[in-house]
Amino acid sequence: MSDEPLTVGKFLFPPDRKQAAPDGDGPLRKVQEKVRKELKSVDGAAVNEALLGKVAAMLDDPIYQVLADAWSRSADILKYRDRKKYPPGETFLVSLAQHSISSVHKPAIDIVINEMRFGTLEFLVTLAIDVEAFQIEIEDATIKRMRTGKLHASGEVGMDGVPIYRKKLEPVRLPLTVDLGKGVRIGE
Amino acid sequence: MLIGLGGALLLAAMIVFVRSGRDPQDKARANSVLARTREHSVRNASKDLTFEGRKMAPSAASVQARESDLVEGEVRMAPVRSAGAYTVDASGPLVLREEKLS
Repeated sequence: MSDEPLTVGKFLFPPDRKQAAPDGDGPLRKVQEKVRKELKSVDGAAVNEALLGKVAAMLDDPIYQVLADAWSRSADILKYRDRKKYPPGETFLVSLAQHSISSVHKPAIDIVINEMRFGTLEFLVTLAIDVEAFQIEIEDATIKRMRTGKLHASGEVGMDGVPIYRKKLEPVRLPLTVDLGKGVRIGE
Repeated sequence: MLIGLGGALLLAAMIVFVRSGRDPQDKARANSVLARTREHSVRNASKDLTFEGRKMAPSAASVQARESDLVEGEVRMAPVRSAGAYTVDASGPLVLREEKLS
């Protein structure tokens, strides 16, 4: 397994994915037409690939950070902020029930063609992650570590309310324990 | 006839004696001359002698546009980031159990 953190972008756009379709009548058609008017050698699929590659690069949050951020704001986890019941210096191992996490991102790309501003493309990226048999270690109202279980996910990129990319992800091999460094503060 | 044969042997013995008596400087000079002679013979090798070698890749390449400028146009894609929003959905309580680690 690579030492580089598994980001949302890499998770959603794995290197072995198929190339995006040219998107004939989709919302990217105007961009493709404009680009092809100025750059005749560029085809629609190349424009789509470049845009999706840019979206993937922007989704650089590590996937474990997304999970921990989601848990840290969950009502069931907020109780671990109670320092009387959960004093600093003590570590609690919490087993999580099977659940799902929805992650929504709204990246955008400013397009400039031959020094002329074309506009801003706004994307809606949704990631649905089914989480099973995960445990987290909480210390001093902070999620410090996670012990991983199974993870199933699917993702979609939409534009103007129309899906332009969908991916059902294969189960990912995860390290048994993930250290979150300084950790993720609960409720912040 | 015997006198003639004896004279020839004596002459050969004298030549051998004189050659073996040359000093080392003379020998080195003689070897140097021999080496130059060999070098000369390599330089003047017959045209049938070929030296094989691999061709090297061109050390420089040039690009020429056929009709107009090389750069047809430019599309700039500037990222605009936004923070993600996360929600947790569980059919029941999220926490199954907890234990204090020592």
